[in-house]
Amino acid sequence: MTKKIAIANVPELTTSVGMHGSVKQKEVGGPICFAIVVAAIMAL
Amino acid sequence: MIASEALAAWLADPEAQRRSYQGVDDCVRRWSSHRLMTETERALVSLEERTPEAVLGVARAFMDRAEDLDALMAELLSSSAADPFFRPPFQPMSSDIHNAFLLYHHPDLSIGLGVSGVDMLAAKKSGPRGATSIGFTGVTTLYRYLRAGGATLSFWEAPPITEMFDSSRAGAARLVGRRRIEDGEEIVIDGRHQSFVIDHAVSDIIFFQALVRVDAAPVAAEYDSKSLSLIGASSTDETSSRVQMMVTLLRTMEREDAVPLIVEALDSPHFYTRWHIMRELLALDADAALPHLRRMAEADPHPEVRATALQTLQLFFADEPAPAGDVQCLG
Repeated sequence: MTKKIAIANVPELTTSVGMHGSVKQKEVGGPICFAIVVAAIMAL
Repeated sequence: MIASEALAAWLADPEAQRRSYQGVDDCVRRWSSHRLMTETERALVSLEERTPEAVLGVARAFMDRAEDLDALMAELLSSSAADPFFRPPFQPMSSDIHNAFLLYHHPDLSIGLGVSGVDMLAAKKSGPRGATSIGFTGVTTLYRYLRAGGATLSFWEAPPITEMFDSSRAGAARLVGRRRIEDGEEIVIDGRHQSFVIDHAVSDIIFFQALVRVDAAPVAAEYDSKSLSLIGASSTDETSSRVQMMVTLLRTMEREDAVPLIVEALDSPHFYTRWHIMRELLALDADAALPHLRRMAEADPHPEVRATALQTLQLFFADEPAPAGDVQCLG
């Protein structure tokens, strides 16, 4: 029988990495988070 | 909606709407085939060495074309003045303190022209604020300040973000300098270990920003402004984030027929994506995942992935016989 594992029980990495463009706190006004618009389609 | 008089008239006039859309289309047609765009594209394609420095050279050449850029701005201004419903055909980018247009976009390079409003900066600095952070973008960015706004920037560094990034060894951000910037000045920030903060400005800051994705770090890192310690990391690779979400969706839908595709995605260059996909694969089809989990525990280049894979093996497969290839040969 196929072993069933619940995803919540599988260990996670200690180094947690969020999805592209996600930030934890508000930045204080440095580089524009330009990377977030990587998918932006320029109308040109 | 309560429309202004001009908007109400425009909404009631299909011909006026057609003229507005036509104006945008004409602008798109002129500028998409303009030498400013086509020659930049050609320069990028024909680069012999695809390094951040080489791509920055293309960005500088774009910004140096003052005549073309002035013509572009003049056209946008006159079109906007002639028709309040004209929309410049460039992706707008806005934050609490910046407004910009994305003038040029390529997978390796984005160039924007923007303004940091001094009133927006003042509102941000003096308004009610929660915790703030210093962001290290993981990519190389060039800023050319057309109007520096009398701004003072503080410059920050952190340990370099590499493929072996590990939150326990991320160290702390540290202040390395603070100075006023001048009109026409250019600064290059290697977001793999450098950042800056706008401390103060006396007028609007107008700037070009060129973002180079070549040789990007795997993650962007955020450090707390007060404690200066790492508070979080996020992927710099949009594609791998999309792959992660798709694989999660496939697991949620119990699409076991997708296992071969999911196994292929285990080859991601990013440690966090490899482990994300492995977790999903284990939950979808543990038997199919097992040989890949064993290989990960043995040979994944990232130590944290190896350790977590080994822990997972011991947790769920301690009673599984080792594969024949792993039997130690005696004699």
